[in-house]
Amino acid sequence: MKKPRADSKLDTLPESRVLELRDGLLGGWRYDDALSWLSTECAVSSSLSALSAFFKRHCAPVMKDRRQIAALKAETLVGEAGRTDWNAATLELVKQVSFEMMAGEHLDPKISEKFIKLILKADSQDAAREKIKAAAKTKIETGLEALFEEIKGNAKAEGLFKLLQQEVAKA
Amino acid sequence: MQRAILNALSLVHPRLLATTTLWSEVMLDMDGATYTAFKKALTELEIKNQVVLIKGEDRDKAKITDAGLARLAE
Repeated sequence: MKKPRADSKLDTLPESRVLELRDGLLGGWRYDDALSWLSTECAVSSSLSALSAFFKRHCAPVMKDRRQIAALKAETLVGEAGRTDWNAATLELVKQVSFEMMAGEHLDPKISEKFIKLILKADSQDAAREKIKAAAKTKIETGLEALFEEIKGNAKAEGLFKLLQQEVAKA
Repeated sequence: MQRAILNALSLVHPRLLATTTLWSEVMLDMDGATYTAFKKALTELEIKNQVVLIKGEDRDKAKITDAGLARLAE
């Protein structure tokens, strides 16, 4: 009688065990670790080539999907963030690093450093921009109050003042 | 081999993929693939402008071009 293929043993494991093995391998188990887990937890003896075949069938498609989703997410996330003050090269860097992080790829330390600095710089620029905006708003409001005091009682001027106020609010 | 490379890169288009990751993808797709053949195929694809290779200090990365995508669509 023909001996069953060693890798077929892995496919006949209960589904929960197949998933555990798949997740373990995707999470970084070495084949040695997987073999000893199979032996102790599932009472199954297997081989390196069987594990390799298992990896191709069960883990590779998951990795492909993960990468594909990460590439799509990197595009949409950056698009949704709606930053318009970054140039094309910076946007490309942000998309690439986002993709690599989400796909679980190894990140180049120098690129990661550049990315972190960029985010921190963008945050402090946002804060400074908000501060300037708030200061300008206060100045405008004070100016408008003073102007209103001057024109109080003049109906035509008050009408024009209201229009001015609306335009300032829009800006 | 060239098609396997283009297929792997097309999944993450327009992002760059580390050539080491690309090689592991190709190995999973093709039995008996050799690293020498992989490097040769990658260079040929770059000459044909179907792939862009970007040298890095840490790792090299590759990206599929519009010409590469067009070849896959043929």
